[in-house]
Amino acid sequence: MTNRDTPVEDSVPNTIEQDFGDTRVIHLSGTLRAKAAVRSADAGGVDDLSIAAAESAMKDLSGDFQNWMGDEVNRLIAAFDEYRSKGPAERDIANLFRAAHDIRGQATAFGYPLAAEIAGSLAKLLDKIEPDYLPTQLIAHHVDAVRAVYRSQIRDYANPVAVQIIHNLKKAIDRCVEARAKAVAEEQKFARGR
Amino acid sequence: MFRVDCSRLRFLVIDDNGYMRRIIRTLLHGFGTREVFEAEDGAAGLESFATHLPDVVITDWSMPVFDGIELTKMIRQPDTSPNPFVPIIMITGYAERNRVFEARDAGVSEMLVKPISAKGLYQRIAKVVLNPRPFIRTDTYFGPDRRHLVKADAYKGRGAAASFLKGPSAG
Repeated sequence: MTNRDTPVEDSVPNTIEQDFGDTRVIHLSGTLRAKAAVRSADAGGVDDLSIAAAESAMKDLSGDFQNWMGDEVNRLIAAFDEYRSKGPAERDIANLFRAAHDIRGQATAFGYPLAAEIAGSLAKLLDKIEPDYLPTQLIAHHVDAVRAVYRSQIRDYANPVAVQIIHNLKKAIDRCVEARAKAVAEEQKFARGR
Repeated sequence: MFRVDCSRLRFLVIDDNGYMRRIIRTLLHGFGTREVFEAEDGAAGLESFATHLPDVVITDWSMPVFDGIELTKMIRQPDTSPNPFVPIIMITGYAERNRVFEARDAGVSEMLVKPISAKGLYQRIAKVVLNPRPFIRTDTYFGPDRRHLVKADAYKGRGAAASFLKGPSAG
């Protein structure tokens, strides 16, 4: 505890239940608060010092991000190679989706926001369309784009070619997802009418 | 005004991606936390949860075999879980509305959409520690009150909880 804090004179851990017939409401006030809340002079209750310390720790870690991003890109490429090497009946998109999903979540933190956006677009395609209807060529374009962004070290939106490619890939995905949704609706309509 | 002293809290971080676990651990240590346990999937996470009894669980959604939603549902079993009330912060790449509802209905306390930031994570921790929502138990649901915007004040004056909730520590 620092000298800007004073201990909380909070209640002991306690719960109380209210019965509303088929619903019970359980109040936990004073459990974790009693353990970890401290009075602070900081305005708004935001602990700027802790946040700054965490950001500083992240900065120390950031020297590794380049290699980590490389590992994630290689994982995506390997997952796509595996996907492409198998026949349609044997294809499993789980690894490919996980690799794309992880890049979507992490690449911005690693300094590659464009790669995150492209991988997000790919993850959307893999999530929304059944494996039998996935367009392999469009997946390949996404994997190539992520690889190119990483290899060319494109880290911001100042590169007009990269931005245009992202725009086009997103449009292609939206068209594809929309077309499949329409086809599914038609199939369902047809099945109901039989 | 209050802040959270994270050095007094024990965290369990569950994520199949080692880099993401390292980032979360780094942030938590930056906040002053000393005790951070890790697991790489939901099954290992559940085991670690029972062993270490963390104060806060931070989990990824998408994990192989046993994902964050299934993990949350297991933890929120009031009759079998070692601590069904533990705050669960879900870190995810999913931002769609239906995904948020799915997490909420499983019993997730707070969601944090990637990319993760120090401020975003601290705010979620502060919320579950300083302003926890009441828990609801029905035949079909056990977990934090799903009406995010309803504060404990809504229950004031209702039955025996009235005096308890009017106290200074009401959350």
